[in-house]
Amino acid sequence: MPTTLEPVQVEEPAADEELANDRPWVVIVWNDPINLMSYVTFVLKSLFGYSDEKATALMLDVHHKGKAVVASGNREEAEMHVYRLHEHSLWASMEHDE
Amino acid sequence: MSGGGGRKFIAPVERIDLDDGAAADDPTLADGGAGENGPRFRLNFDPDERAFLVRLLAELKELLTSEETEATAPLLHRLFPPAFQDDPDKEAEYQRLMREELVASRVAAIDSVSALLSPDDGDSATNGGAASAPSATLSEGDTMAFMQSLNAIRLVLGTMLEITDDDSSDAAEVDDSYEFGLYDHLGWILEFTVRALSGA
Repeated sequence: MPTTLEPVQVEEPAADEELANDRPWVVIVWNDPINLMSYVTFVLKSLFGYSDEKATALMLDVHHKGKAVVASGNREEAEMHVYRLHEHSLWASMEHDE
Repeated sequence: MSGGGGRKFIAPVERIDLDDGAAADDPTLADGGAGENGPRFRLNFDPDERAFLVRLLAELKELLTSEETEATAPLLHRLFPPAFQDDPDKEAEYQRLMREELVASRVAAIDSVSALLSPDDGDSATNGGAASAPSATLSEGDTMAFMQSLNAIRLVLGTMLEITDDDSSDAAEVDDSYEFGLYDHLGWILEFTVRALSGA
């Protein structure tokens, strides 16, 4: 029985900037004049499990400030959030958390 | 509009209290379908209203599944907003991977909602033949699909009406159009759908 672990050959993703650079992403919902405020609040509650208070506060941020960060995560998580927001016709996009 | 007890009008969409006797007669509650313990919802539309909503849903499906043209591109842009606003490469990849899925998801919702609204849906035959009664109640998932599809129609209408800022809807020329009336009406139904789903 070996007492130490064999060094494992790790395959380096050749200069993969994406992985090296996997800073968190933020998911942003932008203000739009068509979606109802109650609808936006409800979608944020049902997609992210936010409380009424939190979802309402985010919706009001979107409404008054033009946008709000509604979620964050790695690229895959953020893309899934954006996709589900798009399914509900919210104006959502993602960018690196600066 | 004021005074007197009782209801002033019938909400277009309502959550059904499961203790309510009306729900007990619903055959869809007894068949042990998925989520049998979830809340149920009722759409209170007459046959003409149902037919009209089905027609709007068909138009939305047509828009989503037809070749994009110069005329439809601006409408579609709002249904498929960019995920990466400052990165054309990532954006192209997102559209390539997700757009088809997004269309399929929307079409699936439209199809299921259209089936639920269609006057000749299969449930009516097993529902005691009460022609004026809603043929069946909706699950929470069905009601979500209804809400999403209705919202997408309203979004396209709003885009056509060039409602581009929060004050546009106050513009007199917009208010006067029939299209704005429809846009407003869909907003009213949507508002009640959200309320019902929120448990109000």
